[in-house]
Amino acid sequence: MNCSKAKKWMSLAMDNELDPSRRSDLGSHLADCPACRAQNQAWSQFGEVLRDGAGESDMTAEAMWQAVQRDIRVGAGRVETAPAWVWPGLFPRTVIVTACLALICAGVLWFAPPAGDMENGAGSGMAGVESVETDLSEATLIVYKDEATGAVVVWVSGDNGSASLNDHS
Amino acid sequence: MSEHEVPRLVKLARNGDQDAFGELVCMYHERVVAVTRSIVGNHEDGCDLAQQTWVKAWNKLDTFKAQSKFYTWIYRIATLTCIDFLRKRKSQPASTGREEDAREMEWVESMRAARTDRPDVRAGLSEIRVRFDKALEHLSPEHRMALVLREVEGLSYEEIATAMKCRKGTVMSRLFHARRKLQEHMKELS
Repeated sequence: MNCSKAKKWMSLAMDNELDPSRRSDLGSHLADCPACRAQNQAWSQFGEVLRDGAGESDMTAEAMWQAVQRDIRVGAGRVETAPAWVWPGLFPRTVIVTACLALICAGVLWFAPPAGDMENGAGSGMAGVESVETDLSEATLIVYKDEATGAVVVWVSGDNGSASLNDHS
Repeated sequence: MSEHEVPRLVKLARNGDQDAFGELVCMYHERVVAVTRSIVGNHEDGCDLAQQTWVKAWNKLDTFKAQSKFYTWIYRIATLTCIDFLRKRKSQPASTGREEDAREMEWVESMRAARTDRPDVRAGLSEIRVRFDKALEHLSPEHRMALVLREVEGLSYEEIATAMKCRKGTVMSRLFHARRKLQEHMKELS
């Protein structure tokens, strides 16, 4: 038997998974091979060290059960009080719908002209807007002039209502 | 409480009887902690993982099939919980030297407490223990798991295969490679 095979059998023998005839062959090899014998001893020690490390728990079984019970209660409470949108079935759908709405809103805001441009008539066909001072108190007069069509819209707004005058000349 | 009570307790627990589940926790507490603690290498994390194991078991009781033994099912949950923990720990930054020193000291102290009869053996094993833990960290979670289930819990290859959801041949191979690699790393550390 070579050392490579002996090492594989050593592991099996240690775990009581090697049949008796092979165990006897392994025994003969270990008797003749100091290197394999040393390895066999080292491997046997691993189990001992592991078992020593595992030792007995400082935490009693009752203390463990109390901690587990607390976690189970907290978990159950979490499910009962959770709002409908965080339920496992609904949660991904809610997230997807919210993300789509957010994207649409972002797109609208991105492509919409700035507020200043709206006031100046950009995007609405109005080429120019002027504010005009008047003698009327509490009234605002706004003149829109569409450069494309030449139309002028005069818009007067005050406390008593508003009126507009279109001039297509 | 004996092992033959287990199927009855499991049945009651599946119907929502927390007291029956509590009896199962008390029955297997030491064994589960021994496994989690040996795999992760420290007492505190071992207890936390054992606790997580039991909470998961309670939540998944309806998936337990009575064909397999309850303890192999519990070991499976424990090993998966430990694998998750070890992978997360590996992806986190390495602990500081001070933390490692403290962990080593914890092991040394536990070994001292465990072996009060022979001081020479005690000291020798403490030194091996420190090297052993470092070498153990180099093993993959699967290799470590197989070794712990075999050496600490004394499970057969078939039981380990059930707990780790793999073939018996894989268990055989994992144990052989775990021992070989462990020895190599211990040599490097000496």
